[in-house]
Amino acid sequence: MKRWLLALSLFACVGAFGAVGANGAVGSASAQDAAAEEDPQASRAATFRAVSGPQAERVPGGLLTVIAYGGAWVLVLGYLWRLGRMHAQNERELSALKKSLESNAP
Amino acid sequence: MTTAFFAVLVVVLSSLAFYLDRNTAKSIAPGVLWVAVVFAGITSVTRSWGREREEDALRGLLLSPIPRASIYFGKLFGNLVFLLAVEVVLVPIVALLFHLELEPLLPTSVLLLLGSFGFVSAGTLFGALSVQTRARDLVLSIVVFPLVTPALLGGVVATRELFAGAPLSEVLGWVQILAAFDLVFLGAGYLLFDALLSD
Amino acid sequence: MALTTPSSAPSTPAPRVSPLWHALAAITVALFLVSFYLVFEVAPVEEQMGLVQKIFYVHVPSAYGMYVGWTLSAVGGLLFLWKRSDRWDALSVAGAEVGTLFAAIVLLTGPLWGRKAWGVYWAWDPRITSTLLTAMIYGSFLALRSFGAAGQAEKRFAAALAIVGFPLLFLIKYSVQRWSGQHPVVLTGQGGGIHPDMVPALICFFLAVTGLAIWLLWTRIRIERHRQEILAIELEAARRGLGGES
Repeated sequence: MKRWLLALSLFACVGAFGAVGANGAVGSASAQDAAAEEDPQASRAATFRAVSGPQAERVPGGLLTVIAYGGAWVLVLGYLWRLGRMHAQNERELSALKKSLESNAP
Repeated sequence: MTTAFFAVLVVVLSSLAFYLDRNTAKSIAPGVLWVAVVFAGITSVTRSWGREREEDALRGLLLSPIPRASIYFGKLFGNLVFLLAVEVVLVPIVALLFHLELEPLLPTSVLLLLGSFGFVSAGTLFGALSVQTRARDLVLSIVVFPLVTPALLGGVVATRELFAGAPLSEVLGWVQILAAFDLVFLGAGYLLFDALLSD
Repeated sequence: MALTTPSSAPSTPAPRVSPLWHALAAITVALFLVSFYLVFEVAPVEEQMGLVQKIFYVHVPSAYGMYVGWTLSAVGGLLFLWKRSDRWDALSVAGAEVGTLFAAIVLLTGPLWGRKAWGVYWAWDPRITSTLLTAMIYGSFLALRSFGAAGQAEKRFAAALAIVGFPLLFLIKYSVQRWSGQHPVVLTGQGGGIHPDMVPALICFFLAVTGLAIWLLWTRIRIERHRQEILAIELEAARRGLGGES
């Protein structure tokens, strides 16, 4: 029960940390719009603004995005697969161990 | 002696691979020099720990009433002297092959001293790996090379800046990085060496 | 360990899995589903980067997951060398693996972003370069552990590697930044900024990655602990001549 609470509070803390970090960036967004106008070159990759209307159609598609999201999933699933294999090996060794101990027991 | 010859071979081979013309020589030479130093350093460390492995000499050393940290510093010092001796051979050869001016060589030697100290302190700490485990030389390289990247980067870039005619004050930042690197490994060696070698 | 009397074979019941573990898995999956909805439906398409800007939502939280993993690895290594308890070794391994997994995601998504932003996949951008260099250190940690069954000595040296890797992380960052620089700084108090409609997606993704990181760490630690227990029982059985080796 205690461990539950600990894990849950850890989750909440770390999550809150992440959320606050993200939120902190937002506050300055509007202030930055003005600054972005001055130096479009530098702010191109650092300031994100929404696109609206017919302009949205001109925006180049996202093969890169698909690769990024797909690749990230492949990596995570690959790791999950590895965890599964390690777990399966543990189970195998445990049952082999059990068997050999039972057969050796007096 | 063998290590020095090996380092010279590295220099000659990489000169063949990278030398273009007189104009680019100055910007390539530092990389060639530092890569050779890294290779010489790892060889030196490997050999020095290999000797301990052969006759289980380390056990005797660990049983003797010497503080563990001083075994580390002793080995560190021995390797450093050896590596510096190799560099004394190496630097003139690189200077010759890449037509370097002799003037920036003095500040470069300070960089080499700091960088070598960093390599050797990292290498000596993790070199004990080859005595304690079944892991062999390749594993040592795998472990040590990633660790020394900041020192290599600092050494190469600072040396290049020196030969491009940058004033000493501009290189100072890199000297600080090298010094910080040395301190990290000196501290780690002092604090961790005992824990690493005792079961 | 579990083997108190030889006659009663270790009656290790199937390890009980805490319901919280399942709950966390469910929450994480749900968070990811919501995140994807927010990223692709709610958040607007960015003006200049286009759809590629959506990589940002997975890239930045992954970088955070990476630091969480590596930090825990260093903490685990330090406590292992100090207390010599295998429990901390498990934390160190799990942290290194999960951190390196997220680093792989960062290193995959970063260059794809760079292709659009800078025209080349690999721009020797300082943050991505320093991530690569640090990933090499923790990669060598994992390589060291993978040479056969990790003995006590391997564990100690791996722990030292994780510990030293942590200060080097900062040193690498600093030195690579000195060397070259063009990474966009979006998430700081002052640099850049993002459209308000993009915020929920980012926050949700942060939460989802947090859940995933904790769940993976938890799972990996459990597996490592089981592994250690099995090895201990095997050792004990062999010592008593029960032929426990499988």
